[in-house]
Amino acid sequence: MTAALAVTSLSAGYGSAPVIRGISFEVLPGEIVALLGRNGAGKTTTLLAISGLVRARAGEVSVGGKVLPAHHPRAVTRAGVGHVPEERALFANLSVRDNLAVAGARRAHDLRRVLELFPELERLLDRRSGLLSGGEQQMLALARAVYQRPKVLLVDEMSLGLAPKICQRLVGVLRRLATEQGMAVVLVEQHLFLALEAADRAYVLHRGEITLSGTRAELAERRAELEAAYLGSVTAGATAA
Amino acid sequence: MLLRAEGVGVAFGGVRALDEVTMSVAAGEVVGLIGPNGAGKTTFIDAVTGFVLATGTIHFGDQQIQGLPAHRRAALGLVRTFQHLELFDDLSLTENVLIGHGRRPGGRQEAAALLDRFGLADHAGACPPDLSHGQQRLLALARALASRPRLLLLDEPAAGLDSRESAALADPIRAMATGERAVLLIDHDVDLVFSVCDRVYVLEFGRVIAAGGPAEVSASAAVRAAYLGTAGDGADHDSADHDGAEAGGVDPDERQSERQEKSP
Amino acid sequence: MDFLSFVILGLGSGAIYAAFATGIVLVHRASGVIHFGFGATALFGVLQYADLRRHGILVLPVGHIDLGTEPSVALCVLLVLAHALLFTLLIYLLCFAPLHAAPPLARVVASVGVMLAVQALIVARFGSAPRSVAAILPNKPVTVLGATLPRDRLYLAAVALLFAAALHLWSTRTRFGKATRGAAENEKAAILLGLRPRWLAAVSWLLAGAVVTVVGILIAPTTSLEAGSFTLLIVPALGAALVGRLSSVAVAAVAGLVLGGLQSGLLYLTREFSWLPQNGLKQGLPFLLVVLMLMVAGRRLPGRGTAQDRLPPAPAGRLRPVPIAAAVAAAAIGLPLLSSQWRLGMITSGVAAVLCLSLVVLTGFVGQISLAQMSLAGVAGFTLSKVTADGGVPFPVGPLIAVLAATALGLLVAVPALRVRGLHLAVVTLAAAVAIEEFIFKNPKVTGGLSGSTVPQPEIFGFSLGIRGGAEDFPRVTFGYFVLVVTVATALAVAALRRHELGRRMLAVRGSERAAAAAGINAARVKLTGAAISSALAGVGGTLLAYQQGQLSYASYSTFTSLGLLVAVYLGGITSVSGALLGGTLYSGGLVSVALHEWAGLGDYETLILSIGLIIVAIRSPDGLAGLTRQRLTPRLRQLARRTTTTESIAVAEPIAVRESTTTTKEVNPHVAAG
Repeated sequence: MTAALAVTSLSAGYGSAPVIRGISFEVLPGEIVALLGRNGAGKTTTLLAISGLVRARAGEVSVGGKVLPAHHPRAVTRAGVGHVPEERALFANLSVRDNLAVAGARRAHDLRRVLELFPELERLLDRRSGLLSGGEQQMLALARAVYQRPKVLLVDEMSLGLAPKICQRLVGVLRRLATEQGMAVVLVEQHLFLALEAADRAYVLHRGEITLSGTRAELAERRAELEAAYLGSVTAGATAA
Repeated sequence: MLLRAEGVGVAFGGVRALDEVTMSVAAGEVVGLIGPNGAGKTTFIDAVTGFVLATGTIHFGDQQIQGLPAHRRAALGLVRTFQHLELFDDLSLTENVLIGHGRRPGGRQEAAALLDRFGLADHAGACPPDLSHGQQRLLALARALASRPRLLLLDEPAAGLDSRESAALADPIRAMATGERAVLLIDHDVDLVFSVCDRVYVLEFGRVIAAGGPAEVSASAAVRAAYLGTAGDGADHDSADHDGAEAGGVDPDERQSERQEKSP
Repeated sequence: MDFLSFVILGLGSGAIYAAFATGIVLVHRASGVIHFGFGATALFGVLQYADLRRHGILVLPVGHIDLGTEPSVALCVLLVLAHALLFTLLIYLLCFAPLHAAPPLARVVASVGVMLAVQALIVARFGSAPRSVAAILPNKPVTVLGATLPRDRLYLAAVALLFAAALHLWSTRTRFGKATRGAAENEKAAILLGLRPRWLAAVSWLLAGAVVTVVGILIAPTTSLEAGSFTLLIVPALGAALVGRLSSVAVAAVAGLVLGGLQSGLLYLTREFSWLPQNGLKQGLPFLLVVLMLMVAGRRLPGRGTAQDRLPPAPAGRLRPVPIAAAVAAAAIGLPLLSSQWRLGMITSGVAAVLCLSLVVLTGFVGQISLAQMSLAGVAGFTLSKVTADGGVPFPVGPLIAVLAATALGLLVAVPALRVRGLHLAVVTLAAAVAIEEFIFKNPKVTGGLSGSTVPQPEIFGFSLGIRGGAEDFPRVTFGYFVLVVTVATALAVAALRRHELGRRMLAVRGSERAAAAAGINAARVKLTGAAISSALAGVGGTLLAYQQGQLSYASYSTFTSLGLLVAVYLGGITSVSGALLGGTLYSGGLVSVALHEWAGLGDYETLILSIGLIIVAIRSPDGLAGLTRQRLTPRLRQLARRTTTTESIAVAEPIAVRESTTTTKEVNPHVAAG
């Protein structure tokens, strides 16, 4: 099977120093892959470099087997990559309905497709999106990206500031998109357990490089190592003991 | 107690970023403040130093400081650093430190000594953009120390440093809390926080979920849950159900802009 | 005629305010620019239309097309509109698209540059002879409730409202309009959804260009047309746009119409009630509106990332005695040797340099923007005339009082300005400049009317320092030395300020108000101190200018001179003393103008050349010309600094990789920074 997304030796950064160095990974259609790692490990930068919002210094990104031109965000979008950034990037002054309209969902049956995934949004359609709660904002951000039927969906820090119940609910939606539509999902996640629950496979980033990877089952066996990557040795040591 | 913050709350629009936070710092202590992204750590520093409107009472020494503008609090000895450093790019290193020094006499010598202490003396005449990231972080510390802090609030001093550089900060930070001076430390490098702090507070969704010595806190289940997420087996923690469950859900950009608007 | 008739008459200007306000809102929403140039571009189109109708000649910015016949109204409108669209698009693509992530000052300066450039282009292409245009809309009077009203005003108002309504629907109902609003608010989100923000913005510019041009042509028959007649109408339009919070086209347009009606109604009231001030009420109203809107709603107005509020670097103000002494000596030797024309150019340059220094302190050091600096100078000038000509106060005291007057006014303006930043500060000071000009400088009771106010020559211990001697002796060399001494003294003072502790605090506030506050600095006090010093310098420049002219009229301190001053000092380099000195030579009448006149024969194109230069500098090198030399040098110095950094590694701070952290990644993204 051709990978929906293939990242090869990708390096990117800001200013003089690289943030990610030679990162390579693949995501198959219908697969959810998590990028894990501590704050500052390079997860967000990886997604931004894939989307072309941060200039890649080396390496290439291909979608469905086709190599994307470097640093050309529109080409990336057109190739079928959707990206929900960490700050969710809603149009805060526009209503929920208008946010969806900008993404292309304008007619009633377009909206139905969206609301079928996120029925919660129906009663909020005319509310300014800046006034939504964190969970509702995240739903709208996902809905907007998903409406464009991307082949690859990049989701950054989906659970940030959200209550576990809502996170579970959103993970459910992602799983459904992956199985029903064959969407490939890249999930950058801070919450280790949530990520392990949601993802089929995961890559752990440390200081801009992939240091650990494996399927959910493989990683579950190396939990101490994973926790150390997150919490530092003191805590992980204490809890593993 | 040097700092006593009681029932401190901060709301951005309808979202509670800090909810009834009570915390104290004694002279000579290094106190850590940790928690996942968006938990309200920086907002707490903002509230204490006067960069954001907060409810509750905050005593510094024996003075109630709620309502004082930020520069007055700084003059009292409540000195902070910034996650984004906010160095003065147009000023030389010496001048940056002199800004912290204010109008007291003897600034030049003291500035030179501080730059020397952080290994920056050779760049005294250069401007911050000419420094490496690590040196910029040290300059921010030097500038803050020049203000003669009684309580130094450090907002992620190790951000962007690798683990070795981060570990090398432990001794200087420890050394800052001498005699009457105390340090409140926010950092994501949990190793650093646990190794230098006398006590640690853990914030999640704007609330204190754990407090105590490093050993105690690091063993706490609530902390693990906050950092790693709730395990699939349903390990519960109480913040999941209260109304402010989405306190951290506010758009980080929006929070940033709120802070900037509030800036005095 | 009663009040209502006056109000209806005012709908004519109301319509043009509405159209400009519509344009301002559209363009601001799409690209974060407050465009001051709509008045000028609309006027260009209207004059084109006038000449096309009358002579069948389409005048273009370069060259012209002779149609041979007298074209119909429709054809004329079409041709002018087509040109206006192209012109507007070029302005956006060449000037503002490259500045989409630039600091507010650069955007303000570019906007001023475009306004002055188009204005200068109008003078160069159409001359200053007034024109008139035959009526386009039916203008038979109509009688309503016993009052005879001009029908065309009602049509004009209707047209303006129609445009606004259509644009309102476009931006709220169509996907394109929504996308435009969205992209303006969050560029990154728009890009991630596959939109093209730049393209969306261009469409907004085109729509704005179309509206102002069409309404401009329709209103032309009801006004006198000459160079400059539309340009400053942008101020009331800004007031109206602010009422619409810079985001609602419909509200802004209605506000524009109401404002036009009210202004005209005020005219009726001043006629009826003689105790009302007879001058400036009309222009005072928009100023009040602007101030009110910015004070009340300023915080809630949509702005763009404050993170970009940075300015070009301010060099350390190190004194290099040898070049300074050489320059002063050259000036001192040159003054008596030069021809009177060059000597006058040199004197003007010196005076303008002092004025430029006032902006270096205010903008370069403290980071505030002012488009009203010459108004402060003017207050000093007219005060000088009052106290010396009418009050007989002797030389050193008179100017001192004048400078104090300017300082007082400067502080008065600075207090409310504490609450306003960036683009909005530019708007409020522009409105203030216009209001001061109309309210004070054009008030015959204050300034002696068109004949102007006289300023007696300065004299100390019976020794004349004045510019005028015998018939042959103008400008007197002594006055040149007087100006030279003052210029050098103020320049040295500003350089000293930069190195002084106060100057450091100013730059700290400019760099980061938050960090400054964290270091115990009272930012408000520093800003007020800066405003006071800057106003005092403007006052000094204003008195020098008054002595130079001997006879003052409002034109010496008009709003356009304030804008011209900004052009000069920004071109020279707004962050440094040397930039101010260079700026002095670039000011109208300074050495560069003399050179353009004398050597290149390009005197008529002076403003055009300088304002285009300004736009280029705003885009390319925000440090100005003085910064260019530094720019060449600094990279080398930095390289050197780096080398020392890497070789002498330090215990904690070896060269460190900037890694992903909240600091670096999430907010600093050069390509989506405007979001």
